Amino acid sequence: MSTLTKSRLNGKFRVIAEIVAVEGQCPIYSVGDEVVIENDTIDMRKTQGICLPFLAGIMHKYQSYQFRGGEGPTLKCPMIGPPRGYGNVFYRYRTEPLNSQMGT
Amino acid sequence: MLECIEVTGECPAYTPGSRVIIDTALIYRNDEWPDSELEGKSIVQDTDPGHANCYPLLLNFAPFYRSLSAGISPRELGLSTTNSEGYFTCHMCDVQHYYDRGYETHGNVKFKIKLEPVETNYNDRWDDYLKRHKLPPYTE
Repeated sequence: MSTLTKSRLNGKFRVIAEIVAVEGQCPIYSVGDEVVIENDTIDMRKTQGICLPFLAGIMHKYQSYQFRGGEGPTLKCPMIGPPRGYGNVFYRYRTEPLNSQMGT
Repeated sequence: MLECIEVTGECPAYTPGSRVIIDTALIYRNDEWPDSELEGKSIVQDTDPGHANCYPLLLNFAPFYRSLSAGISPRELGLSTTNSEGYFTCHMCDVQHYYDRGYETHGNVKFKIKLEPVETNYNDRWDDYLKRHKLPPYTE
């Protein structure tokens, strides 16, 4: 990783989007699964899978949680649940402070 | 075309009947389907209430718009159980969900997705521009 990239990644919190409920069927996530974002990157060791429409939904909020921390309300993915569609998932943000920041 | 069919709670941007028209890459907000003369142009003025689009909603819709613009059915994209029309929701939960947990927020919006065939889109208009100005690949 270049020095320039390192110096940009200075998030103060690890952002975790945790699946709290599944309505209908979801082929990717089940309750308890997590998407872990750390310094603008997804930690694949702790993430159960990446659904791109879900990712589009969390894209616009993770950045603020990464710096501000805190917990968010329950949100849901953009797919429509039954009876009109197949299913969607409910998720919630939580954050954990990062002990060591990259590039500092 | 996204047509709002249901709002639970209060949404600052959309009411049932609101329409978001996406013409390949251009986004129009239209609460009434335009006359043929105005087709493709928003008739909502900046000063009208509710003329705005919701950015998080558009971001949620981003993975689907290009496939839908290409004419792929919503069913293939998993947006519906029927072929003709798809459904889509914003990322806020139903307002009842929050009431049950003791706090309030603004509500959830559900959209119906309709595909309307168009004869020309902005790429064709761009093509016309190139022809008119004899720009590549229409140089003589």
